[in-house]
Amino acid sequence: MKVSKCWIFLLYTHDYFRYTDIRVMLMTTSIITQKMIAQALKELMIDKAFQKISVSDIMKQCTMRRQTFYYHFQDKYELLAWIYQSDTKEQINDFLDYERWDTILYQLFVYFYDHQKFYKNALSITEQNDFSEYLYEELHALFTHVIKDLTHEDLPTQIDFQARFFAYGFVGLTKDWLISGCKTSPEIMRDVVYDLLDHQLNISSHEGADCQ
Amino acid sequence: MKHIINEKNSAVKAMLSAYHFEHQDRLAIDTQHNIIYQKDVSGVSLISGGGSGHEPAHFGYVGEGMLSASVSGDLFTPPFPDAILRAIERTDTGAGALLIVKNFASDVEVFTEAKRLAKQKGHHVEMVIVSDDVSVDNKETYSKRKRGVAGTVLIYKILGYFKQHGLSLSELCTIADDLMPHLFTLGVALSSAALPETDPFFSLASNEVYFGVGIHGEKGYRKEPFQSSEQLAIELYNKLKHLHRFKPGEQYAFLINGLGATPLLEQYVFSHDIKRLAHLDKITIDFIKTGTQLSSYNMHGISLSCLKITDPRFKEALRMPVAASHW
Repeated sequence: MKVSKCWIFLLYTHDYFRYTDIRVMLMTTSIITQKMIAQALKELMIDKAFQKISVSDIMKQCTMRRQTFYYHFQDKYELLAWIYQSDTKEQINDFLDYERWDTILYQLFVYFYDHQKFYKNALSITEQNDFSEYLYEELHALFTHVIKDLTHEDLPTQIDFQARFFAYGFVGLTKDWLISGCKTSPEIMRDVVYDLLDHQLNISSHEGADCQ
Repeated sequence: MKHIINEKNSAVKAMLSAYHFEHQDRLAIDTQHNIIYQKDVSGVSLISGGGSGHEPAHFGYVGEGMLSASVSGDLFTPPFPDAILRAIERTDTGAGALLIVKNFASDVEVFTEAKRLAKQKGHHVEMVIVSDDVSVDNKETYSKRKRGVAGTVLIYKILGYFKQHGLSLSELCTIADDLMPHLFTLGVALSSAALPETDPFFSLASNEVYFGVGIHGEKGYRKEPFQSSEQLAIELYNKLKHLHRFKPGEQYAFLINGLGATPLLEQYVFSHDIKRLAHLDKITIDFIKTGTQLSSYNMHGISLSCLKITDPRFKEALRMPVAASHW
């Protein structure tokens, strides 16, 4: 169905319709286009503060029309939140059924290490910063998965308590690591976290028992 | 479910007979053993095969520059060792035979037995086993399934090129060993395959997709609601990216493979998504091929194979034109 320009104009000017509603009507969102726009912002943020980057800068970087940005995002803050959400989902949630938890954690450390300049810059943004929230949400799912698998604990409240404990700790640890410039390698970070979890959950003995 | 066949038991022979009739100028048939082979063979003989139901694999790749012979079993059932032995006898001109086998226990068993029988008769025979399937085999350890799936066709193509350029049996084995660690495949189903007179292998809600399914209906690792081709492309691409650890500037070959009931339009939409994702990661696509190459009978789904180009000759090998009907 084609929507005439005149009709769009009427909708746009009508109080009942927000801009986002029209955006949805005009075109379907492409995740890969969103990723391309996100990559442009990430590249710019390697050596430029987020506050100093405009939508025009971002779209020039990815050689797309400025209007394309608004088909996919309301503003650069929405784009930043989308990056947090998409990165953490693709690095954690999408791997829950595919790799062991320690491989996922390692992959996450490697990912942050490779994109440390962007994340260090992003974490300094105070206006709207949901990074911790998105990372926490995905890590909570990961640790719930780990605790269920390894401890065979069946009390939901107990599982949730432990998962929240580890997720909050991991978020804080990761933020400190990024802000201080990733001075330790992803391998050392992985080993430290594994040892901590091993100590708390007694993973080695569970895995040993599972193998028998 | 309806199938365009007359009798289940005669379907494979009818298919091979019709295929041979179509390509009789360059191919011969052994109807007793379900073998399609080149009329004019030279150099090392490259032989592959397995159960039927994966068309155009395997006979669609017999021809100058690819396979010397294919041996077909019944639907999803490997051929008998004596049929494979017969294919060796028909195509070994003295340079030896290389058996290219998909890593399924029953296939490996029959090809190993055929190799033994052929060696007893004085043939030089080697075997390479393709295990590119990186879906999850064990949900406790997350070990990968390592069966042989669509990436096998890329192995046919590259080994076919080197065979044509006069490499010996042992040199071809070395090339195969170099290729195998860099070849991964992962698929997704929109619906299960169903063979004649059998139920579908797994159930899937009308809005669901199943990531990581095998070509014989082996279970996948996750079901989720379908959203778009991009959703499928991102999931499969990210898993292969993780295993390969893509780095900017690296060179790769991609094979986008329809699993039997996937329209070419859908395959190319998916292929377009893969091209854009590779561009995003700044990796170079040295070669890309889209089409139904190794199917799972009538499954609606798609698989993505990715081979790291570690030797510039592999790119040339993939690009060289061949006489095989379905490459």
